[in-house]
Amino acid sequence: MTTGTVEVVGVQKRFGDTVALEQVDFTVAAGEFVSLLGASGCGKSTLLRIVAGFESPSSGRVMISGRDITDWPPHRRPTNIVFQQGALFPHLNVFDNIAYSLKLRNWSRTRIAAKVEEMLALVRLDGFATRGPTELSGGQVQRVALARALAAEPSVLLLDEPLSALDQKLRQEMQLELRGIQKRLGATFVFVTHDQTEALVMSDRIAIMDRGKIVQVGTPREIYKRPASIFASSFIGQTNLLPGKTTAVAGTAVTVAVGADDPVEGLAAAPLAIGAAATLSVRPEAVRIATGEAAVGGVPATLSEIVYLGNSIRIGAVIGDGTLVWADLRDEEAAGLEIGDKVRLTWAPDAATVWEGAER
Amino acid sequence: MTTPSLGVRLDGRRLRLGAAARPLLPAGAYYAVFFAIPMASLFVLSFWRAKGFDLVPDVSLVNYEKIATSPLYHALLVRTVAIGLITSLIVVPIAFTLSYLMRFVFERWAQLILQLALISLFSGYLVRIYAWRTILGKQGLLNSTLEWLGIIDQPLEFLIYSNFATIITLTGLLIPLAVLPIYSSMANISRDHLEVARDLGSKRTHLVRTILVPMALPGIRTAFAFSFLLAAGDFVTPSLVGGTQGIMIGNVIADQFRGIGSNWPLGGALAFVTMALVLVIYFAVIRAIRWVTTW
Repeated sequence: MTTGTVEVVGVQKRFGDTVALEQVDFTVAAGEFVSLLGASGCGKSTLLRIVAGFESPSSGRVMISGRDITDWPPHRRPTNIVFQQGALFPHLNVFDNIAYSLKLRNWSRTRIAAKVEEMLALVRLDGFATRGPTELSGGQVQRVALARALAAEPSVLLLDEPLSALDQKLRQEMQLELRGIQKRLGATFVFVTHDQTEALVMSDRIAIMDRGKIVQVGTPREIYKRPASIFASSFIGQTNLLPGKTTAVAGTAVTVAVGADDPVEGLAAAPLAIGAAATLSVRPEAVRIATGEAAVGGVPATLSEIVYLGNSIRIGAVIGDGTLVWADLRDEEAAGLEIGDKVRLTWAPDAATVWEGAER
Repeated sequence: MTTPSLGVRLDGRRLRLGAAARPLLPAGAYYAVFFAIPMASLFVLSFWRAKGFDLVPDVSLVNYEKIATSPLYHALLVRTVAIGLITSLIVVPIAFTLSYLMRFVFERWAQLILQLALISLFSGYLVRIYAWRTILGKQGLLNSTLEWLGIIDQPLEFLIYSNFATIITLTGLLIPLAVLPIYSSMANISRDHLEVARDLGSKRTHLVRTILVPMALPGIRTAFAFSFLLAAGDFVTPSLVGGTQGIMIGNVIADQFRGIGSNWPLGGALAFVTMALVLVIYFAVIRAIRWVTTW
């Protein structure tokens, strides 16, 4: 087994009566950047803390590089962690923070100095060695925390929302930088976040978590294009969820009556029966708006909102059953549209996914 | 160690006060009136001589010579410093452990424990010494309990009127005072710090030396200052529970300022010698703690 793999097998975690993790199975390949994505309280941090060794699972095993480390204490594990607040040791300067794990290993002074230098260069903080933690900006603190964790040469680096405390612009810079560092080192990164954009930008694969379970694992593209559940489709990006009933099924191509029984086509996520309650999901950027007497097909709707977003215009239209559907149009596509217009909403059949049942 | 500067500097012939130092004026005035002036006058007094009941102004080292050549004073100084050190070396680790437990284990009870510590400080100092007397006394709580349990059949004599009694009583008095600064400096240590340290390879024992003690050092220093200086300077506790052999330098100094046989210049000299000795030891211990925790 290669160094840097993570296998989580049948892990459960209960805190008293509450179940934090309900049977989680999940693997990370060596050199992969995997995000655990979910809302707060979904169990993503608990899962990360179990891999780090700060919590022990109620049942199940954790393997790293093929070795079962479930019962190992954190200080023996080949993992290192970066926290949201950095948690730099305030009594040590940047150099000594980064050197912390190396001193514990009794490395020689010159070897430590060389390693710290290398780490500082990696996070682009050359010349910061003698600064104190209070003399650093938020972004610099997180870079030092990253350098400190990487200096220990972990087989797997764990990151618990390390960018969440930073402002938007810095966060976007750091996302790309972190991704670059991971690729350059070829290291395994497991990244916890509640920010779907962050997960999409950085990850090789994303695991979406909901109420203690992993509900979908896939590449960012797979997850965005083919969400496996109503939850996943609403969590990643924005989507319109239209309740309806299936009226025709031909393999995966299904026709669903939405709005005032208006038939539209979509792709079934799983086999569906005719006459079943269904939910159709379509992204705002896939929705087109047809106007004028000549327009046929699609779903009749009345324009109710026009929102200028700069690079696009977001149009809200109410369909027959009162559901509000959003469409993102380019500026010129939206020319002439006014609130109260009677329009038809259309989309390509393969842009819509249909699930059985209603949105929870 | 930086000394707070009042920003007073001589500028030509006029004494000017830097604008930044002006807010320090009230505190500075307070210290001048209630600390610097009395200390300075006592210092001057220590070079005078006592002749019968009169004080003779002089610049004489006779009092210091007396202290330097008297084995009695040497023994007293050694015992005083030893009792102060032993007490503070018991008090500070206990207060550190209590603070750790309050901060990271029984967080929910921390406020309650702090309130109790404060309340114990409100109940007067003498009351608390007497309380210890009823515990340690020959017929006290401890002896009678041990007798009742059949562990001993004679009361343990060393429990009261001994150095042991002085140290135990001072320990009991000073723990609440030591917990307050250590606990408040531990407020800066988060669980993340401890977890990161463990994650980076630190065993629990290492954590104390490399993270907990250095991060709580300001509080530890204050707690050590309180417990060492107050224990070494105390003269009420030894006179109430220390017995005839248990007097400390504080008792002798106090005697120089009251009653028959008083000698103010000698008392002043003794006070300054004690103060110098205690300060030297205080800084040495602080250095030692720093040395142990830097690696």
